[in-house]
Amino acid sequence: MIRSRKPSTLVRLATMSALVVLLASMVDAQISIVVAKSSTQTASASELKLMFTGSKFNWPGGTKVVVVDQSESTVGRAFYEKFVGKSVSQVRSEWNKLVLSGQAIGPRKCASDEAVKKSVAENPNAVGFVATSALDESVKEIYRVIAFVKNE
Amino acid sequence: MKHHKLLCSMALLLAAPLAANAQGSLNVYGYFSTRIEKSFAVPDVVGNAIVKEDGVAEWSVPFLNVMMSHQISENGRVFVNLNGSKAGTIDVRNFWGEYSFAPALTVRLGKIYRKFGLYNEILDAVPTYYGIEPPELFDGDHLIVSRTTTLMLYGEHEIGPGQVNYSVSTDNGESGSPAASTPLGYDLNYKFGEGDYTLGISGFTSGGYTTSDAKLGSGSPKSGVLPWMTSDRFTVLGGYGEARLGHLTLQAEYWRSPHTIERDTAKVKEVISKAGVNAAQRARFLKNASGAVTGGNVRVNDSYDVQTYYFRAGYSIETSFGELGPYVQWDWYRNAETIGNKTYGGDDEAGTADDGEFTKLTIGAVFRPVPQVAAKLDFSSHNYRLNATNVSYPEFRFDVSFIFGQ
Repeated sequence: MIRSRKPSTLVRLATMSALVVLLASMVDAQISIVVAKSSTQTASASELKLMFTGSKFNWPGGTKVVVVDQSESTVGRAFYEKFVGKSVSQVRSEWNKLVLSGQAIGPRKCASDEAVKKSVAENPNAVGFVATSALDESVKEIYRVIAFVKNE
Repeated sequence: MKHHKLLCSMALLLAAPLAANAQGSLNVYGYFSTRIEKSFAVPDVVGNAIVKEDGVAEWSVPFLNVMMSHQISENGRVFVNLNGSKAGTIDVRNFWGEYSFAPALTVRLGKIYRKFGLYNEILDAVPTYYGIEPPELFDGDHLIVSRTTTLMLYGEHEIGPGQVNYSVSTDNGESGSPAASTPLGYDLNYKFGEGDYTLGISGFTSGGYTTSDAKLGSGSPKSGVLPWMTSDRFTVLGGYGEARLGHLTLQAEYWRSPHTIERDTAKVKEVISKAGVNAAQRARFLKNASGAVTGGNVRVNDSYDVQTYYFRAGYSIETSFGELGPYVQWDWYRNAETIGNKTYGGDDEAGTADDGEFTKLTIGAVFRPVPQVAAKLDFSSHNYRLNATNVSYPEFRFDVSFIFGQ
Protein backbone atom coordinates (compact mmCIF):
# COMPACT_ATOMS: atom_id res chain seq x y z
CA MET A 1 0.00 0.00 0.00
CA ILE A 2 1.38 3.37 -0.98
CA ARG A 3 1.05 6.09 1.61
CA SER A 4 0.01 9.52 0.45
CA ARG A 5 2.83 12.11 0.67
CA LYS A 6 0.35 14.98 0.75
CA PRO A 7 0.28 16.77 4.11
CA SER A 8 -2.82 16.14 6.10
CA THR A 9 -5.43 18.86 6.49
CA LEU A 10 -4.33 19.25 10.10
CA VAL A 11 -0.70 19.83 9.13
CA ARG A 12 -1.72 22.35 6.47
CA LEU A 13 -3.92 24.20 8.92
CA ALA A 14 -1.09 24.29 11.47
CA THR A 15 1.37 25.58 8.88
CA MET A 16 -1.01 28.28 7.71
CA SER A 17 -1.71 29.34 11.28
CA ALA A 18 2.01 29.62 11.99
CA LEU A 19 2.47 31.75 8.88
CA VAL A 20 -0.42 34.01 9.90
CA VAL A 21 1.12 34.45 13.37
CA LEU A 22 4.54 35.14 11.83
CA LEU A 23 3.21 37.70 9.37
CA ALA A 24 1.14 39.34 12.08
CA SER A 25 4.34 39.93 14.01
CA MET A 26 6.01 41.57 11.00
CA VAL A 27 5.04 44.72 9.21
CA ASP A 28 5.84 45.42 5.60
CA ALA A 29 8.00 48.50 5.99
CA GLN A 30 9.50 50.74 3.40
CA ILE A 31 12.66 52.58 4.26
CA SER A 32 13.73 55.74 2.47
CA ILE A 33 17.30 56.89 2.02
CA VAL A 34 17.14 60.66 2.31
CA VAL A 35 19.14 63.82 1.78
CA ALA A 36 18.30 67.41 2.67
CA LYS A 37 15.49 68.97 0.70
CA SER A 38 17.89 71.50 -0.79
CA SER A 39 20.59 68.92 -1.57
CA THR A 40 21.52 68.07 -5.14
CA GLN A 41 23.39 64.90 -4.14
CA THR A 42 22.38 61.54 -5.50
CA ALA A 43 24.02 58.14 -5.83
CA SER A 44 23.34 54.62 -7.05
CA ALA A 45 22.24 51.85 -4.69
CA SER A 46 25.70 50.35 -4.87
CA GLU A 47 27.36 53.66 -3.96
CA LEU A 48 24.93 54.20 -1.11
CA LYS A 49 25.76 50.76 0.32
CA LEU A 50 29.45 51.65 0.26
CA MET A 51 28.76 54.95 2.04
CA PHE A 52 26.81 53.29 4.86
CA THR A 53 29.53 50.67 5.39
CA GLY A 54 32.45 53.12 5.41
CA SER A 55 33.87 51.99 2.07
CA LYS A 56 33.15 55.23 0.22
CA PHE A 57 33.56 58.68 1.71
CA ASN A 58 32.55 60.95 -1.17
CA TRP A 59 29.49 61.68 -3.25
CA PRO A 60 29.93 60.93 -6.97
CA GLY A 61 30.86 64.60 -7.54
CA GLY A 62 33.70 64.39 -5.00
CA THR A 63 32.08 66.16 -2.05
CA LYS A 64 32.64 64.46 1.30
CA VAL A 65 29.58 62.56 2.47
CA VAL A 66 28.26 62.83 6.03
CA VAL A 67 26.58 59.60 7.06
CA VAL A 68 23.70 59.76 9.54
CA ASP A 69 22.92 56.47 11.23
CA GLN A 70 20.20 54.99 13.42
CA SER A 71 21.52 51.44 13.62
CA GLU A 72 20.17 50.85 17.14
CA SER A 73 16.56 51.24 15.99
CA THR A 74 14.23 48.63 14.48
CA VAL A 75 14.37 50.49 11.18
CA GLY A 76 18.17 50.50 11.39
CA ARG A 77 18.46 46.77 11.91
CA ALA A 78 16.10 46.10 8.99
CA PHE A 79 17.97 48.59 6.79
CA TYR A 80 21.35 46.95 7.28
CA GLU A 81 20.03 43.39 6.95
CA LYS A 82 17.94 44.11 3.86
CA PHE A 83 19.77 46.87 1.99
CA VAL A 84 23.40 46.43 2.97
CA GLY A 85 23.24 42.66 3.46
CA LYS A 86 25.14 42.73 6.74
CA SER A 87 24.22 42.71 10.39
CA VAL A 88 24.42 45.88 12.44
CA SER A 89 27.24 44.26 14.42
CA GLN A 90 29.29 43.62 11.25
CA VAL A 91 28.77 47.16 9.99
CA ARG A 92 29.60 48.74 13.37
CA SER A 93 32.75 46.64 13.52
CA GLU A 94 33.86 47.92 10.11
CA TRP A 95 33.21 51.51 11.15
CA ASN A 96 35.07 51.01 14.45
CA LYS A 97 38.06 49.69 12.52
CA LEU A 98 38.14 52.82 10.38
CA VAL A 99 37.53 55.23 13.24
CA LEU A 100 40.07 53.67 15.62
CA SER A 101 42.75 53.88 12.94
CA GLY A 102 41.93 57.50 12.10
CA GLN A 103 40.90 56.63 8.55
CA ALA A 104 37.41 58.01 8.96
CA ILE A 105 35.10 59.91 11.23
CA GLY A 106 32.19 57.77 12.35
CA PRO A 107 28.60 58.35 11.31
CA ARG A 108 26.40 60.77 13.21
CA LYS A 109 24.31 58.62 15.50
CA CYS A 110 20.61 59.26 15.92
CA ALA A 111 17.97 57.41 17.89
CA SER A 112 14.87 58.03 15.79
CA ASP A 113 13.49 59.00 12.40
CA GLU A 114 12.88 62.51 13.69
CA ALA A 115 16.49 62.93 14.79
CA VAL A 116 17.77 61.60 11.45
CA LYS A 117 15.57 64.01 9.48
CA LYS A 118 16.74 66.94 11.60
CA SER A 119 20.41 66.01 11.17
CA VAL A 120 20.11 65.38 7.42
CA ALA A 121 18.11 68.56 6.82
CA GLU A 122 20.91 70.64 8.34
CA ASN A 123 23.65 69.45 5.96
CA PRO A 124 23.41 69.30 2.14
CA ASN A 125 26.12 66.61 2.08
CA ALA A 126 24.44 64.34 4.61
CA VAL A 127 22.66 61.07 3.88
CA GLY A 128 20.48 59.04 6.24
CA PHE A 129 17.58 56.65 6.27
CA VAL A 130 14.11 56.78 7.82
CA ALA A 131 10.90 54.80 7.66
CA THR A 132 9.09 55.94 4.51
CA SER A 133 6.00 56.65 6.61
CA ALA A 134 8.05 59.29 8.46
CA LEU A 135 8.98 61.27 5.31
CA ASP A 136 8.09 64.96 5.40
CA GLU A 137 9.03 68.26 3.74
CA SER A 138 12.39 68.58 5.49
CA VAL A 139 14.11 65.80 3.52
CA LYS A 140 14.13 64.30 0.04
CA GLU A 141 14.02 60.60 -0.79
CA ILE A 142 16.74 59.38 -3.17
CA TYR A 143 16.23 55.61 -2.83
CA ARG A 144 13.61 53.29 -1.34
CA VAL A 145 14.21 49.95 0.33
CA ILE A 146 11.43 47.47 1.03
CA ALA A 147 11.96 45.36 4.10
CA PHE A 148 10.03 43.29 6.58
CA VAL A 149 10.45 44.73 10.02
CA LYS A 150 9.66 42.76 13.15
CA ASN A 151 6.81 44.48 14.94
CA GLU A 152 8.16 45.18 18.43
CA MET B 1 54.08 60.69 40.08
CA LYS B 2 54.16 59.57 36.51
CA HIS B 3 51.02 57.51 37.13
CA HIS B 4 49.24 60.58 38.52
CA LYS B 5 50.23 62.64 35.48
CA LEU B 6 48.97 59.94 33.17
CA LEU B 7 45.69 59.57 35.00
CA CYS B 8 45.14 63.35 35.10
CA SER B 9 45.90 63.66 31.39
CA MET B 10 43.59 60.80 30.54
CA ALA B 11 40.84 62.20 32.79
CA LEU B 12 41.09 65.55 31.06
CA LEU B 13 40.84 63.91 27.69
CA LEU B 14 37.87 61.84 28.77
CA ALA B 15 36.19 64.93 30.16
CA ALA B 16 36.25 66.39 26.67
CA PRO B 17 33.01 66.23 24.73
CA LEU B 18 32.57 62.51 24.38
CA ALA B 19 29.04 63.02 23.21
CA ALA B 20 30.18 65.15 20.31
CA ASN B 21 30.80 62.15 18.13
CA ALA B 22 29.67 63.78 14.98
CA GLN B 23 31.42 64.72 11.78
CA GLY B 24 32.35 68.38 11.87
CA SER B 25 33.20 68.55 15.56
CA LEU B 26 35.93 67.31 17.88
CA ASN B 27 35.60 63.59 18.48
CA VAL B 28 37.31 62.00 21.46
CA TYR B 29 37.23 58.23 21.65
CA GLY B 30 39.44 55.20 22.05
CA TYR B 31 39.63 51.90 23.85
CA PHE B 32 40.86 50.12 26.94
CA SER B 33 42.44 46.70 26.64
CA THR B 34 44.17 44.14 28.78
CA ARG B 35 45.65 40.72 28.08
CA ILE B 36 46.73 37.58 29.86
CA GLU B 37 49.16 35.27 28.09
CA LYS B 38 51.13 32.21 29.00
CA SER B 39 53.30 29.74 27.12
CA PHE B 40 53.94 26.14 28.15
CA ALA B 41 56.90 23.76 27.78
CA VAL B 42 59.09 26.23 25.88
CA PRO B 43 62.14 24.35 24.62
CA ASP B 44 65.68 25.58 25.27
CA VAL B 45 69.13 24.11 24.72
CA VAL B 46 71.15 23.42 27.88
CA GLY B 47 74.47 21.82 27.20
CA ASN B 48 73.57 19.74 24.20
CA ALA B 49 70.13 18.69 25.43
CA ILE B 50 66.71 20.26 24.94
CA VAL B 51 64.90 21.09 28.16
CA LYS B 52 61.37 22.45 28.42
CA GLU B 53 60.12 25.02 30.86
CA ASP B 54 56.79 26.82 31.23
CA GLY B 55 56.84 30.52 30.51
CA VAL B 56 55.77 33.05 33.11
CA ALA B 57 52.12 34.07 32.89
CA GLU B 58 51.97 37.71 31.84
CA TRP B 59 49.03 39.97 32.59
CA SER B 60 49.59 43.25 30.83
CA VAL B 61 48.83 46.48 32.62
CA PRO B 62 45.50 47.64 31.21
CA PHE B 63 46.35 50.12 28.52
CA LEU B 64 44.45 52.90 26.94
CA ASN B 65 44.41 54.38 23.46
CA VAL B 66 42.84 57.82 23.30
CA MET B 67 42.16 59.29 19.88
CA MET B 68 41.01 62.74 18.89
CA SER B 69 39.83 63.66 15.45
CA HIS B 70 38.71 67.05 14.30
CA GLN B 71 37.32 68.03 10.91
CA ILE B 72 38.57 71.59 10.79
CA SER B 73 37.04 72.30 7.40
CA GLU B 74 35.35 70.31 4.69
CA ASN B 75 38.76 69.29 3.36
CA GLY B 76 41.01 69.60 6.40
CA ARG B 77 41.33 67.22 9.33
CA VAL B 78 43.67 66.59 12.26
CA PHE B 79 44.11 63.36 14.23
CA VAL B 80 45.94 62.46 17.45
CA ASN B 81 46.43 58.92 18.76
CA LEU B 82 47.86 58.67 22.28
CA ASN B 83 48.80 55.38 23.87
CA GLY B 84 49.29 54.81 27.59
CA SER B 85 50.49 51.25 27.23
CA LYS B 86 52.80 51.20 30.24
CA ALA B 87 50.45 53.12 32.53
CA GLY B 88 53.32 55.48 33.34
CA THR B 89 54.13 57.14 30.06
CA ILE B 90 52.16 58.51 27.16
CA ASP B 91 53.32 57.59 23.71
CA VAL B 92 52.18 59.70 20.77
CA ARG B 93 51.46 56.96 18.27
CA ASN B 94 50.16 59.35 15.61
CA PHE B 95 49.77 63.06 15.21
CA TRP B 96 48.92 64.41 11.81
CA GLY B 97 47.03 66.95 9.77
CA GLU B 98 45.76 66.45 6.26
CA TYR B 99 44.22 68.43 3.45
CA SER B 100 42.21 66.87 0.67
CA PHE B 101 42.50 68.67 -2.67
CA ALA B 102 40.27 66.06 -4.30
CA PRO B 103 39.34 62.43 -3.63
CA ALA B 104 42.35 61.50 -5.76
CA LEU B 105 44.82 63.64 -3.82
CA THR B 106 45.15 64.17 -0.08
CA VAL B 107 48.34 65.37 1.62
CA ARG B 108 49.01 64.16 5.17
CA LEU B 109 51.88 65.43 7.34
CA GLY B 110 52.96 64.37 10.81
CA LYS B 111 53.68 61.07 12.51
CA ILE B 112 51.67 58.78 10.28
CA TYR B 113 51.12 55.06 10.06
CA ARG B 114 52.10 53.79 6.65
CA LYS B 115 49.39 52.43 4.42
CA PHE B 116 51.07 49.05 4.15
CA GLY B 117 49.30 45.76 3.57
CA LEU B 118 45.99 44.97 5.21
CA TYR B 119 47.06 45.69 8.74
CA ASN B 120 49.56 48.42 9.50
CA GLU B 121 47.05 51.24 9.72
CA ILE B 122 44.56 49.28 11.76
CA LEU B 123 46.87 47.63 14.29
CA ASP B 124 45.57 50.03 16.94
CA ALA B 125 42.03 48.93 16.17
CA VAL B 126 42.66 45.66 18.00
CA PRO B 127 39.11 45.26 19.35
CA THR B 128 37.64 45.07 15.88
CA TYR B 129 39.60 42.41 14.01
CA TYR B 130 40.10 38.68 14.15
CA GLY B 131 43.15 37.62 16.12
CA ILE B 132 45.09 39.14 18.98
CA GLU B 133 48.65 39.17 17.70
CA PRO B 134 49.62 41.27 14.68
CA PRO B 135 50.88 39.48 11.57
CA GLU B 136 54.61 38.67 11.91
CA LEU B 137 55.38 41.49 9.47
CA PHE B 138 54.41 43.96 12.20
CA ASP B 139 55.37 42.03 15.32
CA GLY B 140 57.24 44.47 17.57
CA ASP B 141 60.18 42.05 18.01
CA HIS B 142 60.91 41.82 14.32
CA LEU B 143 59.43 44.61 12.27
CA ILE B 144 60.54 44.34 8.68
CA VAL B 145 59.81 48.03 8.11
CA SER B 146 59.14 50.97 10.43
CA ARG B 147 55.44 51.49 11.08
CA THR B 148 55.37 55.27 10.75
CA THR B 149 56.36 57.83 8.17
CA THR B 150 56.22 61.63 7.91
CA LEU B 151 54.79 62.81 4.62
CA MET B 152 52.17 60.97 2.64
CA LEU B 153 50.19 61.58 -0.52
CA TYR B 154 47.20 59.34 -0.98
CA GLY B 155 43.95 59.14 -2.84
CA GLU B 156 41.31 57.07 -4.52
CA HIS B 157 39.84 56.81 -7.98
CA GLU B 158 36.99 54.72 -9.31
CA ILE B 159 37.98 52.41 -12.12
CA GLY B 160 35.66 49.78 -13.57
CA PRO B 161 33.56 48.06 -10.92
CA GLY B 162 35.80 49.13 -8.06
CA GLN B 163 38.07 51.71 -6.56
CA VAL B 164 41.84 52.13 -6.82
CA ASN B 165 43.56 53.43 -3.68
CA TYR B 166 47.17 54.54 -3.60
CA SER B 167 49.66 56.09 -1.21
CA VAL B 168 53.25 57.30 -1.49
CA SER B 169 55.23 58.28 1.58
CA THR B 170 58.67 59.41 2.66
CA ASP B 171 60.57 60.56 5.77
CA ASN B 172 64.04 61.06 7.18
CA GLY B 173 64.91 57.40 7.03
CA GLU B 174 65.45 54.66 9.57
CA SER B 175 68.31 56.41 11.30
CA GLY B 176 66.56 59.76 11.34
CA SER B 177 69.30 61.42 9.30
CA PRO B 178 67.94 63.15 6.20
CA ALA B 179 71.35 63.03 4.51
CA ALA B 180 71.72 59.28 4.91
CA SER B 181 68.95 58.12 2.63
CA THR B 182 65.65 59.00 1.01
CA PRO B 183 63.21 56.23 1.78
CA LEU B 184 60.05 55.70 -0.20
CA GLY B 185 57.00 53.69 0.78
CA TYR B 186 54.10 52.91 -1.48
CA ASP B 187 50.81 51.04 -1.49
CA LEU B 188 48.39 50.32 -4.28
CA ASN B 189 45.19 48.35 -3.96
CA TYR B 190 41.93 47.73 -5.74
CA LYS B 191 38.67 47.27 -3.85
CA PHE B 192 35.73 45.82 -5.71
CA GLY B 193 32.54 43.83 -5.21
CA GLU B 194 30.99 46.62 -3.08
CA GLY B 195 34.14 46.74 -0.97
CA ASP B 196 34.12 43.03 -0.15
CA TYR B 197 37.25 42.17 -2.16
CA THR B 198 40.68 43.79 -1.90
CA LEU B 199 43.84 43.04 -3.83
CA GLY B 200 46.97 45.07 -3.29
CA ILE B 201 50.72 45.47 -3.20
CA SER B 202 52.91 47.50 -0.87
CA GLY B 203 56.57 48.27 -1.04
CA PHE B 204 59.39 50.17 0.59
CA THR B 205 62.92 51.09 -0.29
CA SER B 206 65.40 52.50 2.20
CA GLY B 207 66.66 54.76 -0.59
CA GLY B 208 70.30 54.08 0.15
CA TYR B 209 72.37 52.79 3.02
CA THR B 210 70.84 53.42 6.42
CA THR B 211 71.46 52.51 10.06
CA SER B 212 69.44 51.10 12.93
CA ASP B 213 67.29 53.26 15.19
CA ALA B 214 68.24 51.07 18.17
CA LYS B 215 71.58 50.98 19.97
CA LEU B 216 73.07 47.56 20.54
CA GLY B 217 71.87 46.31 23.94
CA SER B 218 68.81 48.57 24.07
CA GLY B 219 66.21 46.18 22.69
CA SER B 220 64.50 45.53 19.40
CA PRO B 221 64.68 48.15 16.65
CA LYS B 222 61.51 49.86 15.51
CA SER B 223 62.53 49.38 11.91
CA GLY B 224 63.95 46.73 9.64
CA VAL B 225 67.65 47.41 10.40
CA LEU B 226 69.35 45.26 13.06
CA PRO B 227 71.55 47.12 15.56
CA TRP B 228 74.86 45.41 14.68
CA MET B 229 74.95 46.90 11.18
CA THR B 230 77.24 49.72 10.08
CA SER B 231 74.88 50.18 7.15
CA ASP B 232 71.97 48.39 5.53
CA ARG B 233 70.29 49.00 2.19
CA PHE B 234 67.01 47.16 1.92
CA THR B 235 63.69 46.95 0.19
CA VAL B 236 60.34 45.36 1.06
CA LEU B 237 57.82 44.17 -1.48
CA GLY B 238 54.72 42.09 -1.06
CA GLY B 239 51.11 41.51 -1.89
CA TYR B 240 47.89 40.96 -0.03
CA GLY B 241 44.28 40.04 -0.55
CA GLU B 242 41.05 39.97 1.38
CA ALA B 243 37.64 38.52 0.54
CA ARG B 244 34.54 38.94 2.63
CA LEU B 245 32.08 36.30 1.51
CA GLY B 246 28.97 36.90 3.54
CA HIS B 247 29.94 36.02 7.10
CA LEU B 248 33.31 34.57 6.07
CA THR B 249 36.47 36.71 5.90
CA LEU B 250 39.60 35.38 4.18
CA GLN B 251 42.94 37.20 4.24
CA ALA B 252 46.42 36.46 2.94
CA GLU B 253 49.69 38.40 2.71
CA TYR B 254 53.23 37.62 1.51
CA TRP B 255 56.33 39.80 1.97
CA ARG B 256 60.00 39.61 1.03
CA SER B 257 62.69 41.98 2.21
CA PRO B 258 66.22 41.64 0.75
CA HIS B 259 69.03 43.37 2.70
CA THR B 260 72.54 44.31 1.55
CA ILE B 261 74.50 44.84 4.74
CA GLU B 262 77.78 45.89 6.24
CA ARG B 263 78.25 44.54 9.77
CA ASP B 264 80.07 46.50 12.47
CA THR B 265 82.94 44.29 13.64
CA ALA B 266 82.96 45.56 17.23
CA LYS B 267 79.20 45.10 17.59
CA VAL B 268 79.30 41.62 16.08
CA LYS B 269 82.04 40.66 18.54
CA GLU B 270 79.85 41.96 21.39
CA VAL B 271 76.81 40.06 20.10
CA ILE B 272 78.75 36.79 19.88
CA SER B 273 80.38 37.18 23.29
CA LYS B 274 77.44 38.60 25.28
CA ALA B 275 74.14 37.89 23.54
CA GLY B 276 74.75 34.28 22.68
CA VAL B 277 74.34 32.93 19.16
CA ASN B 278 73.68 29.47 17.78
CA ALA B 279 75.94 27.60 15.40
CA ALA B 280 74.22 28.83 12.24
CA GLN B 281 74.37 32.45 13.37
CA ARG B 282 78.04 32.10 14.33
CA ALA B 283 78.72 30.69 10.89
CA ARG B 284 76.98 33.68 9.30
CA PHE B 285 78.83 36.25 11.37
CA LEU B 286 82.33 34.75 11.13
CA LYS B 287 84.44 33.78 8.14
CA ASN B 288 85.80 30.86 10.12
CA ALA B 289 83.09 29.71 12.53
CA SER B 290 85.50 27.67 14.62
CA GLY B 291 88.07 30.45 14.70
CA ALA B 292 88.62 33.16 17.28
CA VAL B 293 86.16 36.05 17.53
CA THR B 294 88.40 38.76 16.18
CA GLY B 295 87.71 41.77 14.01
CA GLY B 296 89.52 40.13 11.13
CA ASN B 297 87.32 37.04 11.35
CA VAL B 298 83.99 38.94 11.19
CA ARG B 299 82.22 38.66 7.86
CA VAL B 300 81.52 42.34 7.22
CA ASN B 301 79.80 42.50 3.83
CA ASP B 302 76.85 40.19 3.38
CA SER B 303 73.22 39.95 2.34
CA TYR B 304 70.11 38.22 3.57
CA ASP B 305 66.37 37.98 2.96
CA VAL B 306 63.46 38.21 5.35
CA GLN B 307 60.31 36.48 4.16
CA THR B 308 56.91 36.06 5.75
CA TYR B 309 53.36 35.13 4.87
CA TYR B 310 50.11 34.39 6.61
CA PHE B 311 46.62 33.13 5.92
CA ARG B 312 43.67 33.94 8.11
CA ALA B 313 40.02 32.91 8.03
CA GLY B 314 37.34 34.24 10.34
CA TYR B 315 33.62 33.61 10.47
CA SER B 316 30.98 35.84 12.01
CA ILE B 317 28.04 34.13 13.71
CA GLU B 318 25.16 36.24 14.97
CA THR B 319 23.64 34.89 18.17
CA SER B 320 21.04 36.26 20.56
CA PHE B 321 23.93 37.00 22.96
CA GLY B 322 26.06 38.91 20.46
CA GLU B 323 28.53 38.18 17.68
CA LEU B 324 30.81 35.15 17.87
CA GLY B 325 33.76 34.97 15.49
CA PRO B 326 35.91 31.86 15.40
CA TYR B 327 39.15 32.27 13.44
CA VAL B 328 42.22 30.38 12.36
CA GLN B 329 45.59 31.77 11.23
CA TRP B 330 48.77 30.28 9.82
CA ASP B 331 51.98 32.34 9.98
CA TRP B 332 55.38 31.60 8.47
CA TYR B 333 58.43 33.79 9.03
CA ARG B 334 62.13 33.44 8.18
CA ASN B 335 65.03 35.71 9.09
CA ALA B 336 68.42 34.02 9.22
CA GLU B 337 70.27 37.14 10.37
CA THR B 338 68.48 37.77 13.67
CA ILE B 339 69.49 36.30 17.02
CA GLY B 340 67.43 35.06 19.97
CA ASN B 341 68.41 37.68 22.54
CA LYS B 342 65.84 40.51 22.51
CA THR B 343 67.98 42.83 24.62
CA TYR B 344 70.53 42.86 21.80
CA GLY B 345 67.87 43.57 19.19
CA GLY B 346 67.01 39.97 18.41
CA ASP B 347 63.79 38.02 18.22
CA ASP B 348 63.10 35.10 20.56
CA GLU B 349 61.13 33.27 17.88
CA ALA B 350 63.09 33.39 14.60
CA GLY B 351 66.36 34.08 16.43
CA THR B 352 66.01 30.99 18.60
CA ALA B 353 65.46 28.66 15.65
CA ASP B 354 68.46 26.94 14.07
CA ASP B 355 67.68 28.41 10.67
CA GLY B 356 65.74 31.54 11.64
CA GLU B 357 62.46 30.02 10.51
CA PHE B 358 59.27 29.30 12.41
CA THR B 359 55.59 28.64 11.78
CA LYS B 360 52.67 29.41 14.02
CA LEU B 361 49.15 27.96 13.91
CA THR B 362 46.58 29.99 15.83
CA ILE B 363 43.00 29.03 16.58
CA GLY B 364 40.76 31.38 18.50
CA ALA B 365 37.44 33.14 18.83
CA VAL B 366 36.25 36.66 19.43
CA PHE B 367 33.00 37.35 21.23
CA ARG B 368 31.29 40.73 21.01
CA PRO B 369 28.20 40.93 23.25
CA VAL B 370 27.85 44.51 21.99
CA PRO B 371 29.93 46.17 19.26
CA GLN B 372 31.92 48.15 21.84
CA VAL B 373 33.15 45.14 23.83
CA ALA B 374 35.35 42.32 22.56
CA ALA B 375 36.71 39.31 24.41
CA LYS B 376 39.17 37.13 22.51
CA LEU B 377 40.72 33.80 23.38
CA ASP B 378 43.30 32.09 21.22
CA PHE B 379 45.81 29.27 21.27
CA SER B 380 48.98 29.13 19.18
CA SER B 381 51.39 26.35 18.40
CA HIS B 382 54.93 27.65 17.65
CA ASN B 383 56.95 25.26 15.52
CA TYR B 384 60.66 25.46 14.61
CA ARG B 385 63.95 23.56 14.55
CA LEU B 386 66.14 23.73 17.62
CA ASN B 387 69.42 21.87 18.01
CA ALA B 388 68.62 19.88 14.85
CA THR B 389 65.28 18.72 16.31
CA ASN B 390 61.73 19.76 15.37
CA VAL B 391 60.19 21.38 18.45
CA SER B 392 56.97 23.17 19.29
CA TYR B 393 55.29 24.77 22.24
CA PRO B 394 51.77 26.05 22.92
CA GLU B 395 50.77 29.51 24.03
CA PHE B 396 47.38 30.93 25.01
CA ARG B 397 46.16 34.51 25.20
CA PHE B 398 43.00 36.11 26.53
CA ASP B 399 42.23 39.69 25.64
CA VAL B 400 39.39 42.00 26.66
CA SER B 401 38.79 45.44 25.21
CA PHE B 402 36.22 48.16 25.49
CA ILE B 403 35.69 50.96 22.98
CA PHE B 404 34.46 54.26 24.37
CA GLY B 405 33.18 57.43 22.72
CA GLN B 406 31.77 55.54 19.71
